[in-house]
Amino acid sequence: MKTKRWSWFKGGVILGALNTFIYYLGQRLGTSGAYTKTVAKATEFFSPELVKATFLAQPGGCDAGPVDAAMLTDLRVDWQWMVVLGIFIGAFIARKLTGGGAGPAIPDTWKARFGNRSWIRYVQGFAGGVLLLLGTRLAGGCTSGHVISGTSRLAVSGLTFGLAAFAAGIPTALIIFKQRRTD
Amino acid sequence: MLFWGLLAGVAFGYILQRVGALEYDNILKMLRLQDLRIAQFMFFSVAVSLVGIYTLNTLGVGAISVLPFHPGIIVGGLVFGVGFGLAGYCPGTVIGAMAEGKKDALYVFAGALAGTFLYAFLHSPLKTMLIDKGNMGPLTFDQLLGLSPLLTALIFATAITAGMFLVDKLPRGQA
Repeated sequence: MKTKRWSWFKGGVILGALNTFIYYLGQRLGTSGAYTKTVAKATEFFSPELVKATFLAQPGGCDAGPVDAAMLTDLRVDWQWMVVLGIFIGAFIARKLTGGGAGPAIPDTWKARFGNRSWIRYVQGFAGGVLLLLGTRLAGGCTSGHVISGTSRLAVSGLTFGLAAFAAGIPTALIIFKQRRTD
Repeated sequence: MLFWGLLAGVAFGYILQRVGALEYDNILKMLRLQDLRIAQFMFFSVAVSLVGIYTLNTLGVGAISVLPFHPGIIVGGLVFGVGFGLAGYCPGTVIGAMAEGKKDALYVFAGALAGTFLYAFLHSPLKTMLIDKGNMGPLTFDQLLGLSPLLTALIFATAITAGMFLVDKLPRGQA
């Protein structure tokens, strides 16, 4: 049996409390910086020179301070990397505890609109993933680092990133799902 | 401290799964303006955080640090938004969606790693054009408005909360 999802109010109160606790710990919520660490670590295995030339000269992610202090200074596992690992574990536990079963290969609404050709969804997803991280790395943060952490610290950058993301995301979604006229 | 990070992440992942933020269907319904519950959840969590963080800060607990504002925030946000519409996940939720066994999330994650790699080569020119030029530093709304941080936080929290309850009054479209 599937347990009913939380209301936005309940979820918002709990995430707000968690976010406040993270502030109390002297940390900030953020995920995209962990991508840089991971990719840099993998790249280091093949070419340490390339890492020095590229990854150590870009914003370290959602916890980045002023631009120049924001360089990736080392490749050690940090607080935010552990957060990302935790997201994996937490989501897994939540699904198991609430009887969600195994996730679908392609989402229901996508299937209803585009049919069973899952490879199209996978290509679309891959392209989306590339753009997500290109945008995130340029802005120095993502939904968690900018919209949640940033806006809850009154950052102009946080709210602006969120508004820009919706300004582009809404037309993109509307175009993808544009209904063909049936009459 | 690393252990607390893991614990915070587990809680974050659990919350995201329970509110339905790991569902492509829910994200796309939000972006198609048919069902805004994920946005309401996210912005309401910001309202709660504003009250919590600025109460602690006023009591002398912790320090506020914010990311700088520069043109790359807008350009990056727009590129991110197109990716969000295509992927249906963000860099955080895709991790949770993979844990749930959603196969399409694996491809989004692979793309995300590729995007991170690609960005490493684009960073230098983009930094000159969009990050260093027009960089206004760690700008905050209380500075812009000339109000105290606590008062600004309370105004924002109240406005966001009222806005999210108003959204509930809107008719919800059919998916």
